[in-house]
Amino acid sequence: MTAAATKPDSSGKLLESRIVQMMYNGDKQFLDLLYKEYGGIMYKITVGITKSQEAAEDVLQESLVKIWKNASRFDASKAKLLTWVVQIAKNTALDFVKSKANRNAQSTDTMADKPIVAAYGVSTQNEDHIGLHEVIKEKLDERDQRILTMLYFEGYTQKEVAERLDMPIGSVKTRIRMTVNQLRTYLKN
Amino acid sequence: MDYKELIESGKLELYALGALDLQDQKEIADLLATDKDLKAEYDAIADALGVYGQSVSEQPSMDILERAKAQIEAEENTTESTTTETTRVVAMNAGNTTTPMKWWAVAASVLLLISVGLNVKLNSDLKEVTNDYVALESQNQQMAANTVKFNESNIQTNKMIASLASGKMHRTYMGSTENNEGYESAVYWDKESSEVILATNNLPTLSENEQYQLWAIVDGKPVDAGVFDATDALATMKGISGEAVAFAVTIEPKGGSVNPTMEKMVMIGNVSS
Repeated sequence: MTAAATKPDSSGKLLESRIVQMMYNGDKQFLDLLYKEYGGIMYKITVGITKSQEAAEDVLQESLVKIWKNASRFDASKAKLLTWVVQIAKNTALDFVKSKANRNAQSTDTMADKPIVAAYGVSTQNEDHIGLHEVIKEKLDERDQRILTMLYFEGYTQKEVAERLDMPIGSVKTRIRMTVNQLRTYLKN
Repeated sequence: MDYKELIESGKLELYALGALDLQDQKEIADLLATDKDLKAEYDAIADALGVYGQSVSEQPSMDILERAKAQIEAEENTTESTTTETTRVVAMNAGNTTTPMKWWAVAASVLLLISVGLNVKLNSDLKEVTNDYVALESQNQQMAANTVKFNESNIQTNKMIASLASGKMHRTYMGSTENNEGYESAVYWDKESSEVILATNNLPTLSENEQYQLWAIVDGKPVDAGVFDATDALATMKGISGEAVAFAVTIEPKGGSVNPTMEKMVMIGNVSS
């Protein structure tokens, strides 16, 4: 396993269509495949937002149940599974944080204050992608990576990212566009 | 249509990340459904983000998935006596909906699926199962006369069908009790998951203030499995755990009773081992 960029996993696309097909056919097993494919991303999001491993696990569990219940509502003509599961994980996590904040009399900035209990780091799961992560870390601008992480895994809105990083909201959009373009380029190689 | 500006704006990236507000989200979603070039661009973005996301995340424990499945199972097995909350398939009607990608076919196909699935899975019960559903299917007139009641959650219906077709359900035929005639149904029971599905065959309609109630005989005592109506062709009943040796149906006041009215028992069937 070298540090060179790895090819995009084309089997991932086949897996997505397979999962979607199973959902439409009412095949219960879709959840297992979905978990394998997106569980890591979902978990990273729930950890990133709740900042607690225990809460993250509960939120992930809740998200999976929601996915199950709402599978028939997924419209493949309007979104890919990634967007859908990311939204569910994020919203469930944000709801959790919000309700927790409501329960705690003093709720300050819950997202910034809580210590990160579970560290999310380099993947040990998918060997194909380890090299990719290193390349990206190396090649991408640090602030761009931060923007991506905040939007992807920490539940921040564009506005919040702009505020925290002290940049115009338009720049957040432009930077994320550039970052993903770079990702796409590396993945082609 | 040229969406160059939209594409350059980064909005598709934000959409892919679920980072747009509801209104923008809906706007983009609708556009994607109509423009295949735009969709292709979004697809490429989502794919790249997916691969990236996988490269920086760790697979969480299978424990969490198992807990989710247990929660799903538990929620499915909780059925109430009230008719509104139980999953039912009443009759067939071509549902007119414009939502793309419907999950389930109309009930006729559903019944066909069940009969096909069961035909494939069950061996010794093959003939009786086929007869059950042929009988049900041939009741076209009664079916057509009934209104369709689709549970809000389509996935519930689909799960019921999946259970029936899974081959894990044990079938108990219930016939009329002595001095009664024309009562016939089948109970499908998954001993492992406790799931119970009832398939009725053209039962006599009851008066306004009466309902049928299903009972399981466990340890010599009747256990309530829920109420149902003559119009319920298929229904998910309350879960039954433990060793049920028989299933029976009585006629009770609407809403059911705590204990069965023995004189009004109309169907019974023994659970074969």
